[in-house]
Amino acid sequence: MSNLLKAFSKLGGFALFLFLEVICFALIIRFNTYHQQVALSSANKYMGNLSETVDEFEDYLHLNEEVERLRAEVARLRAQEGNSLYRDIDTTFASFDTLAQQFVFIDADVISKTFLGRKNFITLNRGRQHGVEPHMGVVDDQGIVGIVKSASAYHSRVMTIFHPDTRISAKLKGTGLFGSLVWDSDKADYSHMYLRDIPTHHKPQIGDTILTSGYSILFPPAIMIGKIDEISKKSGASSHDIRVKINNDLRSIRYAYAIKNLMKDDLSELEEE
Amino acid sequence: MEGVVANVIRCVVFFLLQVLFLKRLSTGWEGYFYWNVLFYPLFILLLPFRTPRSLLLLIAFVFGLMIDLAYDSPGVHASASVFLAFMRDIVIKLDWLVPREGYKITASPTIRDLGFPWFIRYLGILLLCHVLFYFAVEVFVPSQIFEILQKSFFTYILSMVFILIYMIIFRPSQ
Repeated sequence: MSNLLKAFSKLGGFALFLFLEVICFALIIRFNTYHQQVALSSANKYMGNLSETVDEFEDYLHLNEEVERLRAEVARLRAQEGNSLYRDIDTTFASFDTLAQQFVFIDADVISKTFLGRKNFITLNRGRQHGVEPHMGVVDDQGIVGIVKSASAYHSRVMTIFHPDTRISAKLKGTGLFGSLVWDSDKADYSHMYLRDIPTHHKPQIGDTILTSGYSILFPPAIMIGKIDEISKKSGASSHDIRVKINNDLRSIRYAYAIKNLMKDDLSELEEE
Repeated sequence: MEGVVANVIRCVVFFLLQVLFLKRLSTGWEGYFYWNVLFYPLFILLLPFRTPRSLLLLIAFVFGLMIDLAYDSPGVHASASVFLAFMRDIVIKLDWLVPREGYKITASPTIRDLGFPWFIRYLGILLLCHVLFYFAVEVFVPSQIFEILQKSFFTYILSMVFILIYMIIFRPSQ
């Protein structure tokens, strides 16, 4: 009992101490200009931080919408880049209307992917309804992804560059040299491809950039593919064996753009004739 | 009764000493208050042991407010004084401070009653509490801890000197 009383009186003293300190601090903040300013500014600071954090959190909630919006924007902007446009230079008479749209980009989410064996496909959540058709090139923000193999109304299946049937027409940046880029399906190496058909009398260097050539209807010219990281030559062969380090990592791909070539029919007409 | 009168007189004298004389010493140079002399905490330190705890806190509060009126800083000295009063009860019960035979009921916390070594420990701890708390509240910005410590250091030493001179010269008995 006496212990209890002791504890109570001790606590009572503490309570009074806290009470008096609260009064003191109220006086301090109320009547001292300097302290008032400090208190106000730090209150602002912490409240500011708090609302900033809340704001950031809200941003997270809207992140998906924001990404969608940005990707649509990217697709629109990439369609405006020089390599998506057909330069319609008319020499007969002067016209300002010399650029025609050749490529447009359709943004898509990658909804499934497997990189295991020899034949690697990914699935996109865009299909015929959105303009995706078989035989369209697919790229992401850092490089090329593959070629659309089949499309349903809302989805499409993309044969990636890591597939034995893939042939990408590629060129060495800054030269007119071009060859076809293939994947060695026996090695199952998901970061390198091989550039064939570069004749041995040309001397490409390690580190040279490989771009799409623009000679196929699939990809616009000058899209980054990767860099040369090994050059070898089999004896007697007439072309180099060039290994290319792919710029993007398809295993971590989350979204991609299918490329619609608006002049595809125009080009295929020629072939039919 | 005698003790009450002595303490009231001490209260007035210390107040006047602090605000009329020591306050003027507490200027640094170039507008930077480098050091203060805080002498008035001695009044709270010298209150008798038998003062009830809540009364002690209230006295400290009122006395601190009086100092604050003179210093034109409402609440700053008062909060430090209340803290000092609160700490005093804790400190005098510390094991290494309690004399071997315990405190006599009539004893006062003075050199005469409890000896110089006891008093210097008692004063050393509590004045440090007071000074640190005072400057923490005065500067009020935790990130300027260096300024708080610097001001506390100089003020602590000067106040110690002034208080010890007073205690040795006047040797108050209660």
